[in-house]
Amino acid sequence: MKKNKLTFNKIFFASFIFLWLATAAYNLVKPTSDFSENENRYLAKFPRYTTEDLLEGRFMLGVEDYINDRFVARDFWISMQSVLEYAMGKRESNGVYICSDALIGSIDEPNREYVAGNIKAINNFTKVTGLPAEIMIVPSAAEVQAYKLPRFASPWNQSAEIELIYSNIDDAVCVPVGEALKEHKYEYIYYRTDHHWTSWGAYIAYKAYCETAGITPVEYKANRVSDDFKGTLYSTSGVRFIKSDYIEAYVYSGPVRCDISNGVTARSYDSMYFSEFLDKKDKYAYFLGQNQPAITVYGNSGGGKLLIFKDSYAHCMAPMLLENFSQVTLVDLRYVNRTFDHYFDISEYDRVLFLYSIDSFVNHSDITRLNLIGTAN
Amino acid sequence: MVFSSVIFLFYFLPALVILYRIVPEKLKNLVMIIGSFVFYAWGEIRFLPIMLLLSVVDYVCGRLMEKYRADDKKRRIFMLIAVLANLSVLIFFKYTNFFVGNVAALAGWDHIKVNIILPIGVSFNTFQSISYAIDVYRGTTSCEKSYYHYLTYTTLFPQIIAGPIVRYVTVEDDLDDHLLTLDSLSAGMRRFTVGLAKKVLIANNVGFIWSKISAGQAGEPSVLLYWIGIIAYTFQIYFDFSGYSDMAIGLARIFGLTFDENFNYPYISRSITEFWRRWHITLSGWFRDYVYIPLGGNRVSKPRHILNLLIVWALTGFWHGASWNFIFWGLYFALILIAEKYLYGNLLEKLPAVIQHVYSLLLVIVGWVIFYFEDLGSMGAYLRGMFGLDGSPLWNSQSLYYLLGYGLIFLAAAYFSTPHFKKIIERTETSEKKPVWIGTTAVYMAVFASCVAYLVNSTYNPFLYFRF
Repeated sequence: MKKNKLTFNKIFFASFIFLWLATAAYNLVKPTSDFSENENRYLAKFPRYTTEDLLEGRFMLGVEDYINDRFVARDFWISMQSVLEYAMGKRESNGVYICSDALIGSIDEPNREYVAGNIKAINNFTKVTGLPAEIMIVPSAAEVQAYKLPRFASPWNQSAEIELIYSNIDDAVCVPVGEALKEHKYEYIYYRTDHHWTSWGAYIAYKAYCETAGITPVEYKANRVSDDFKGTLYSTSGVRFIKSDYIEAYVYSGPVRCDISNGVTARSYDSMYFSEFLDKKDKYAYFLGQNQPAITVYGNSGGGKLLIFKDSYAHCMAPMLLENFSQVTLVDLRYVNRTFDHYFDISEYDRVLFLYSIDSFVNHSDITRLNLIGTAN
Repeated sequence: MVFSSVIFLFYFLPALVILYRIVPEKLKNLVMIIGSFVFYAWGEIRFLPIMLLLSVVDYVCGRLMEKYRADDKKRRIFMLIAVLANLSVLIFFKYTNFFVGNVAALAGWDHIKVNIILPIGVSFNTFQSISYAIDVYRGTTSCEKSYYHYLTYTTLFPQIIAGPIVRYVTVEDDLDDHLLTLDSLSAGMRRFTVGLAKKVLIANNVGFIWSKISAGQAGEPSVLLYWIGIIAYTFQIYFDFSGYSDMAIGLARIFGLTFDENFNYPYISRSITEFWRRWHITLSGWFRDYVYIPLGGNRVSKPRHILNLLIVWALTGFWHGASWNFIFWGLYFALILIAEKYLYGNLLEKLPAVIQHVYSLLLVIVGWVIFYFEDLGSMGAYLRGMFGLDGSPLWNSQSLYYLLGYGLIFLAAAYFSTPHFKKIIERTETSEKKPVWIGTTAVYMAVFASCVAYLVNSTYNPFLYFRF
């Protein structure tokens, strides 16, 4: 073979093998961060060495997680994979439906045991307290905006499930929120890249609630606070080609105090909007901050006091409810692990609302912590 | 460690390739041994001492067989020691659970349970050592004089986890004289990339849908869904396993070794007899040379030949896993092979090619149902579902959804199951045109990058042959 003659293998070696080895070398030297904003999680740390972990193979798994998490241009690879999947015809990624202009989370089928336990806990609570109560179970976009789903996708029927749950509720009055949302299904009621509803979606539910509870709703007035919201579905799906969301917040103009309690200490704020989160990935936390055991907001509109057991869907609705109630307390049972009197005094309240998204209600058992009511009876 | 992982591709392999190239010839095998130890220990550190012990037994018995070349009796004894040592390790780790479980069930001893974990690669490793012992005994190969070389052979990391079963004669010469060129590195890397793509882009993808359907988590069943599921599995097992063999062959090439081919487009077969000449060739070759032929092969009476086939195929099935369904799977193919040999083989050949293909594929696909379901009830239920006997509709919207989502991958998998693409690859390898070289290089880079994209975000990366 002549020395300097160009061959296929030389070209292949010079480009493919060079790039491969260069990537490997760059991986060794590149600095890494510990937190992934896009995935909204801490990346794996290098495992601590123990001989036992080595023999059991756990040490090696830890090293692999560490390496995978910190691979060069991780986000580029993840989005490349989602593009490849999409090109191959797949319209689902990591439990997220990829629709033409939105991502829609697929909700796991109901856990019958959890559903029964949650219903029982609510019935027990309303019976023990005797407070007037409403319940609102919010279907997800997969149900309300089913027209957006990929062709032939057929998730389970949330409306039938909600109807079944409602029929088993004893005292609380059921808010037909699914029907109300469906009347507006072509509007911007769910975020495109997040599993939450928008403020407009929350307002539609607020109106349905007022109607059920015999309250006069206020008009919708909102301003746009962010144009670049990339939510949880953006993170879990890896899909990067869906347009960012904008966030509107209902404008509550009166003075506000907002107390956040973790059961031990309470902190006070003079706003229920936390604009520092608008610069972060988790922009939905603009509404009342991140999830907390108990948050109480005080306004100046008069009216009674409302106690809400809720998931984060309630956060963007709280400002609207403050137009009709002088005080609204939002309790997230996921984080409540002491009796209720550590967080609030149940005898203060005039009314209760159970506000849960379908996923929280049928796939989580936290509502059974209503039994922590403790001293009230 | 598995080949399809970031740590292998971007840490282990580059380090080993560079080290291997820069050390002098004498030390290359040492680098290989250390590399193989690290590779194996990464996934199965506790079995390493037993593997080392076995390699000493193999080596010593080999030397002794050579020493007593003239004494048939002694030679036979040392061959048997080596074979039995390997077999007992295999039987202990792989079949104890099965035997104890069955005996306990028959005797009604519910409280007796054993749970021995099968070390990775033990089925391949012991079979390889047995082939060495028998080959030395038969004189088809001379024994390896250097333990250093023998250890290199028996721990070679490209094949240690999932084959192919490499016989000593295949790599004997390479171990002394490593032919390392830019050409072998480049060609090996290309072959490796092909295997990686088969595994990561096709097998994992179709495997994902099969895992959902086989577990009944894909919504309301329909006949179409059952078929989507089993076709996905049919492609998964081929692309996973042959992809692994391609990667092993490619890696061997990178390190200056030549392995035998293990798959030859089995799904284009026109009969089951042909299928088994094309599927997992090194395994069927092993059973042919070390079980079937010693039993008398086909040079015996017809009933004895049938018995030989039943024995060989029951064992072949059982090798794939310690469970009854694998034995049934082997016997299922034995019956078909016997029927092809003695009943309708000639008739089949006269039928149109299409019918021969449909016949073969259908039997292979039904075979995979038997292969997959350890529980006979689920196996029966799945088969009934496939043929519409469980009352499911022909199709529903759920099955159409999966068909839309996986149709393209199925088409691609079907295409890559034929030798057509291989011809294109061969043409690029021999082309004299520079644009072809550049284009081909770019395609390999894109394919490799696609695999990396999947691996970095690897939530689903199973490895089917770990249990064998």
